Amino acid sequence: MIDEIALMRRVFDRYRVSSPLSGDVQRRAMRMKRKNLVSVMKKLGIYSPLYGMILSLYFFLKKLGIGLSIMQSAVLFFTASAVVVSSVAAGGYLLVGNVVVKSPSVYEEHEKKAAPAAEPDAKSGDVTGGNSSIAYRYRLQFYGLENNGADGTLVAQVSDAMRSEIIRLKGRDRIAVSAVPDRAGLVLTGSVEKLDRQYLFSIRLTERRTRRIIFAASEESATAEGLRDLAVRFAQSVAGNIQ
Amino acid sequence: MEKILTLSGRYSMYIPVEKNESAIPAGIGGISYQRVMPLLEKQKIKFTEAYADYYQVVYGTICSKISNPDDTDDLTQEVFMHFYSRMNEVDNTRAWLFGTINNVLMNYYRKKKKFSSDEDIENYLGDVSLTFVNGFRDTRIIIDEAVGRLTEPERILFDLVAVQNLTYELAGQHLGFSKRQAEYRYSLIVKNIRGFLNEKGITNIEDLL
Repeated sequence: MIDEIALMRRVFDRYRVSSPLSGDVQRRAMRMKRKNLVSVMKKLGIYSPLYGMILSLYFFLKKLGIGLSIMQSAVLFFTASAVVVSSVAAGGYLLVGNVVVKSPSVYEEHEKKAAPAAEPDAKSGDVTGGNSSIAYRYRLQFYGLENNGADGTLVAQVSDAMRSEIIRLKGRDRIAVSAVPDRAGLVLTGSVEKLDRQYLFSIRLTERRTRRIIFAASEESATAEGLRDLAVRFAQSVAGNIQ
Repeated sequence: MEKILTLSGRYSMYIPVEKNESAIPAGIGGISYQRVMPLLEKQKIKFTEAYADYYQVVYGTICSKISNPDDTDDLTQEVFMHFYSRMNEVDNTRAWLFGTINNVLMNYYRKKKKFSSDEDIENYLGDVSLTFVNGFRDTRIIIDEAVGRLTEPERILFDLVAVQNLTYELAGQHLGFSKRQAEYRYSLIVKNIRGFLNEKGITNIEDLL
């Protein structure tokens, strides 16, 4: 058959049926096909960007050897567009959802900007503050220990000892300890309870947003001095758990 | 069937090919032909598909006469702009396009003032086969008849491969075929023409060479 085609080609050449175009002209014609159509349609005032996109798909498929009609290309174009739009919308929704879950709330961001820094020598119950221009890494709310039947002065001293030790361990410029409620991402609560001749010292460190307990401890001490030692040890544990 | 005279003076028969709308799928993913149809104009679709079918034939015919790519682009656009304005009156797209190509080329040469008279232009644009004598001319007429028996899609493929010498790959890209499909279809066309020549008593093709 190949011989026959070659033979017929010679016949067509001999009888001037053929009028061959050079390779350059052939390629140029192919290249200009869509461009010339768009140009004609613009001159006729019948071109629209939407139709232009359908045309791109139509000619692209033809180049791939897929001979769809304009209508079929249009159906394919709208279907593909619908799929792409749905995918982008779904992807965007998931992405935004992820970002919202991971990022701190607006309120927390505000807190970070507004919360005062802790003063290591602030008294229990005071709002401890500092330089608000410092970007603290950690912010802890600690009002002081609750007193359940113990000497008030002792409980205040133990509270101050805890606060000072935490600030010392984490660094003055890295942590702010505030007594103001809802002012920090971490909350430290605790109590000193007098049971007969024993003191029961309990503390709990929680993450405000998730309410997750990060660290909790409870120990007994027979003396006030022992209570102060416990305060230092608890403060070390709390500082170790603030990451 | 209607016989028409083309630019080159060749006679050909035109067999109208109706697009089979039922072949269009009902829809993909819920988007149906009926939903898309109102968004597009029928006239525009008809024009685009005629353009896609005949663009290379028109472009090649014009380029073979003027050998100037930039002017060829302009004249090809002009032919199709005329076609759009008269599309509803046109019964035979091929015949109409070739007639318009002739007029457009006449105007082009008149403006260029390359020839001294319209007669010279017509002679230049005329069919070379008319200059053949005796057996040559008779054989050419038989070949033209054989080509004229082809259906319109076959005729377009014949124009691209046999007349303009496009590769199967490039012809396929114009018409939406793969290279193998174009090659197969062209082999059927050659077989068809060969069969017609046989009917006319030309059994040995080599006798024509």
